[in-house]
Amino acid sequence: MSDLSEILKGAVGDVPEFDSAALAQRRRRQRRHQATGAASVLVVIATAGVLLLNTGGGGVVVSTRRPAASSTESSDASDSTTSSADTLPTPSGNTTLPSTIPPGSIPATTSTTIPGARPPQISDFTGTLTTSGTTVHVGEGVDLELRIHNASGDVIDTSRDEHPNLELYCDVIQNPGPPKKIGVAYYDGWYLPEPTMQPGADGVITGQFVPTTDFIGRASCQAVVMQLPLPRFFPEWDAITAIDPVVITVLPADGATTTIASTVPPSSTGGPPTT
Amino acid sequence: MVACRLNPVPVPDVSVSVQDMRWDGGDAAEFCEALHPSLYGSLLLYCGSREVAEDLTQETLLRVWRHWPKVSVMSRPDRWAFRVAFNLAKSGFRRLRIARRVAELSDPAHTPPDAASDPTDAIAVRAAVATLPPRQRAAVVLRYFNDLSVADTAEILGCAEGTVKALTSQAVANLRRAIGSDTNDDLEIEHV
Repeated sequence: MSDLSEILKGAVGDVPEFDSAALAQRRRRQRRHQATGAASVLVVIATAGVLLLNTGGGGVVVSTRRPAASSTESSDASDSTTSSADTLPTPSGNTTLPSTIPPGSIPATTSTTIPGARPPQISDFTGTLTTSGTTVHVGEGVDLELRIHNASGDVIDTSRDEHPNLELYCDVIQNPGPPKKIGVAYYDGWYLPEPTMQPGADGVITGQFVPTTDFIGRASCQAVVMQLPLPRFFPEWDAITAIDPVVITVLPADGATTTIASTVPPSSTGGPPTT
Repeated sequence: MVACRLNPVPVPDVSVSVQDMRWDGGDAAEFCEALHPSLYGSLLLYCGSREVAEDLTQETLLRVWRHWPKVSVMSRPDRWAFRVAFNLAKSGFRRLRIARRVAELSDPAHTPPDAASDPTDAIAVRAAVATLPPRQRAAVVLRYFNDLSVADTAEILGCAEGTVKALTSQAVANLRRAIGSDTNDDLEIEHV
């Protein structure tokens, strides 16, 4: 009968045909999601704004992304044509080991919890975030480098299968007031390559932020601790306030015409963390 | 202990691009079409949902498309795509879940694909795979669904080859238990 490979392939069953037009549809869907998500978050922001005003914390400027319908795609997947696919080079194992696994011979390496390590907290870290540029056109890339220092006295497991996780995170500036919630369906985030940080250890997260039209306006990249997403509808993040965020102005692709959303002062992106 | 993580996928420095490193399979559309079945199948096994798998597959292919000038000069662009896919599956799953829920709220006509047409044993196998810890799941999908070598799997997952072997072995042992005795004798595992 079947080996594991055949069992798994059989379990997949029918695979939908590749449809390049579906990619274009996805782009349109993303924009619709984003607009809807932004609307939902505005309710949250409005509520937070009222609370801030009531507590003397007024003056928060709320930026809204321009309507999705106003965006202009510089290119679209549906413009491309598809043809019969060539076969990808498929690597395969070329060494055979014994077909049975001796009981007890497998090292226990899959635990998601590192002994002695604890999840990250926003007060654990100091560091700097630098960028190769503060203005970028859609489709171009900005290199980000987050140098982070474990200023706590504990071993931190920064990137876990469970939350919270330390992330370098880029989002559109649209939700400046606490609580910080992910207001868009898609964003960019990066983790530490080596997730375990000893006390006093330094780490570097690098990433290339390549904004889509969804980010046109101003984007903020910062070090955050992403909080447990469920059962909440929107995941939440808390900024690591000891590390200044960077604000990146995202312009339409060269040749594209679009309206840029209203802007938000950079100072509004690094608000006090929620606890 | 070596942790196996799905790490960020850096876009390579194309300043060292060499013509003979280019994928010779054609343009981005051809590459995406060729990669689509294995990506979709991998993500279906990893996520357990056809809808999510299709979401993640399209998102991955969109990123391939977006970065095609750089991706096309890689010696193994499929590895890069798989890293993107599994990274999305891990860190991006929540975003897709949000997107899906928003879509459901905003589009009354939205209906998830019907999975009822899948054979029962296929559903059972996928359910068994879904019980594996994420890293075991990724390892076994890459090794046994995609027939990738230990080295390729380690590169995609960003961990040591020994870790991949351990993850795979544990995954197989767990699958043996989860799938049941009827299948136990049929799991003939080729090790690398």
